[in-house]
Amino acid sequence: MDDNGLVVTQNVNKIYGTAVRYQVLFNITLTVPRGQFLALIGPSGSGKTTLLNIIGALDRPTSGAVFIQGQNLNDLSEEDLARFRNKFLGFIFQFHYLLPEFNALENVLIPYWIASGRPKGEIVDRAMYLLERVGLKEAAKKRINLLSGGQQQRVAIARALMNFPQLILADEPTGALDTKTGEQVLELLAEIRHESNMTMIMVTHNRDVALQADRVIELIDGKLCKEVYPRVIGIKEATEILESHACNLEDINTPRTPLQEE
Amino acid sequence: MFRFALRIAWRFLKSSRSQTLLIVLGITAGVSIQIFLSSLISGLQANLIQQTVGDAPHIIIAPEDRTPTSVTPSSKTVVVSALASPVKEEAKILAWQQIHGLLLNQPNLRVASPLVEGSGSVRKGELTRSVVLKGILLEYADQIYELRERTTQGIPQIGGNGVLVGVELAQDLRLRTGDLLLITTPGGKDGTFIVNGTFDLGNKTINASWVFLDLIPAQNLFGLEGAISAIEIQIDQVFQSEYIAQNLKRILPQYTIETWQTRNRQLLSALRSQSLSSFMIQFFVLVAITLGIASVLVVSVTQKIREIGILKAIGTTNTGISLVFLIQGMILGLFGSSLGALFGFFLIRLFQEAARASGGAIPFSITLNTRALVTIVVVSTLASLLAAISPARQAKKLTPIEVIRNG
Ligand SMILES: Nc1ncnc2c1ncn2[C@@H]1O[C@H](COP(=O)(O)OP(=O)(O)OP(=O)(O)O)[C@@H](O)[C@H]1O
Ligand SMILES: [Mg+2]
Repeated sequence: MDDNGLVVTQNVNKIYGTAVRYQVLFNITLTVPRGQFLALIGPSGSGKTTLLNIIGALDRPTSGAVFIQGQNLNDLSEEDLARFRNKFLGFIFQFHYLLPEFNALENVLIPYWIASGRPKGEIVDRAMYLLERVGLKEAAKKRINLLSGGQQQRVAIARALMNFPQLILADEPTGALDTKTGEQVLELLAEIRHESNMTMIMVTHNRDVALQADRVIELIDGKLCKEVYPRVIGIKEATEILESHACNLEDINTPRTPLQEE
Repeated sequence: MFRFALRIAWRFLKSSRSQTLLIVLGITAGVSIQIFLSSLISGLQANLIQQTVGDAPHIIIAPEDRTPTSVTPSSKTVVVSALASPVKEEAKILAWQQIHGLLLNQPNLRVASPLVEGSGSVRKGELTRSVVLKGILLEYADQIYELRERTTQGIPQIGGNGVLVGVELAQDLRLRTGDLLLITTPGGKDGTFIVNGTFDLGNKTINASWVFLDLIPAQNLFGLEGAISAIEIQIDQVFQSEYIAQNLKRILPQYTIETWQTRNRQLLSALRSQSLSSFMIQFFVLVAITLGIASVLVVSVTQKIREIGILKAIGTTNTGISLVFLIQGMILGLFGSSLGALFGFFLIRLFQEAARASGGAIPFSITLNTRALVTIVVVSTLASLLAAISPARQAKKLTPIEVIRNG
């Protein structure tokens, strides 16, 4: 099953609006193998968030399909998708999106609560371990509002990891943080990735961050434009490709099923 | 999932503390008023009914063609002329001992009292009055009319030629205990009797016209020869009278069986409209509670849009998020109505104290109607649940990407 990649998108199109149709994604076909760290870059409005949300089962494509572990998400009901997100995915958003009604530890436990009710001792231990891992052991019982932005984002990372997700989706996880805090958070993510060999798709505006990934894909106007493997070709060459104006993925963007592009 | 929803619901309520407190107080006020009002109304009605039928027969068994002449102590409009007609020849119960014995063995009957009744006149010296003669067996009749307690003078005895007369009548005829009087019936028979005492049944007309005498001399006066004119019955539960009357009709098909309700239609319809208005008030209080909870929860959905979006993004199902709001409604309803029940109970106690302290100025007391209490608490909680449906639906409709996109 995994031969095809953990995440496979097939000719994903997204069109907003009904009266005035506005196409945001064009025939996105993409395979992300298990364990890969993929960075999605591109100018503002190019459709990165839209694509990430579709992969993350938060949004549905107008046409095309997303397979995760071979499961076609189109075949799942809303309720199934919710359960799927809870079980398979870990989300890290730009804004930290914790629940202010709960303390840090409880926020980390929420994904478990959603699925299974009362946490056993070992589950609380895991949540504590994750908080410790993100350096917030002391803040476990603190109200969310008392934490700094960086601390909140680290709690969010711990929460994303709670249910042993197969795939981490991060949308500009440092976008709301200052540079230094942002770097710490990225370092933390890198460490966790190394430890667990987790698959991760991260949207970022920061080219240096992107170049640390296994693979970088640039979206322009809703189309896949460039793809580089910095570890394979080296940072220098990767930078050159990313800085050039020509796309190196023309072949991917030519429609495979002409019917789908009007 | 329920556990999870309960946890989130609880926290949501706790986090908007003043809002939660206010609505719980609102429900408390509404429910306590409902409970107090319903207890007050049922206390009032029980008192009215007790006054009406407490010392009057609840059911009367009479021969088929007998015009009902019995007067209840508190019916203020007694048509004396109706009493004046003599007991017709055929209007009698012959084998009454058998029926009486049968009745005494019936469940739910408190007492069955044989009665010979008719009009007559009483003379003492130059003074004459027309009266209602009530021939009774004191040991049974006393359980209906409480004659022993209501004897104001003399002794409550009617053996042989003894009679008990109403206080007004005694005044009119200047009667005293031990006085002799002559009783004449329309049939032309008469007899001399001795006044054993006077009674006060709390009703002027009755006190001015009733004379109690023993069954046997009464039978003689009316020429009934062992027969009687009616059997008066009191039952344990006054509102079971119609049901019991129906049963009796089956056993005694040849007699008319009349209940206190048929003789107190006006009172009953007044009670009914009172109950209805109390019910209306309770209904609108309930509507107010429901709308209050609904509005608070609708506002809460808008306040918690962010949280709802996050919860959904990380995998809360639509059912789960709906449940969060339904449970909030449920918690508000349960807390509010339980507090309301407590407070309503407190109000009732307060009223009881006031009634006691008033020394009769408040002529009745109220007791907590447990069934009404349970009903009100359950209905209020269900209404709260109902109130949460629309907010729950709203929360369900919310899509997480809207929230995530807009920060
Ligand atoms: N619900 C919507 N209705 C209409 N248009 C939308 C909607 N959501 C997004 N868009 C549009 O789709 C385009 C792509 O949006 P998207 O958020 O995916 O871009 P992005 O690459 O993530 O940009 P940024 O780097 O600024 O986050 C934008 O032009 C945006 O205005
Ligand atoms: Mg974006």
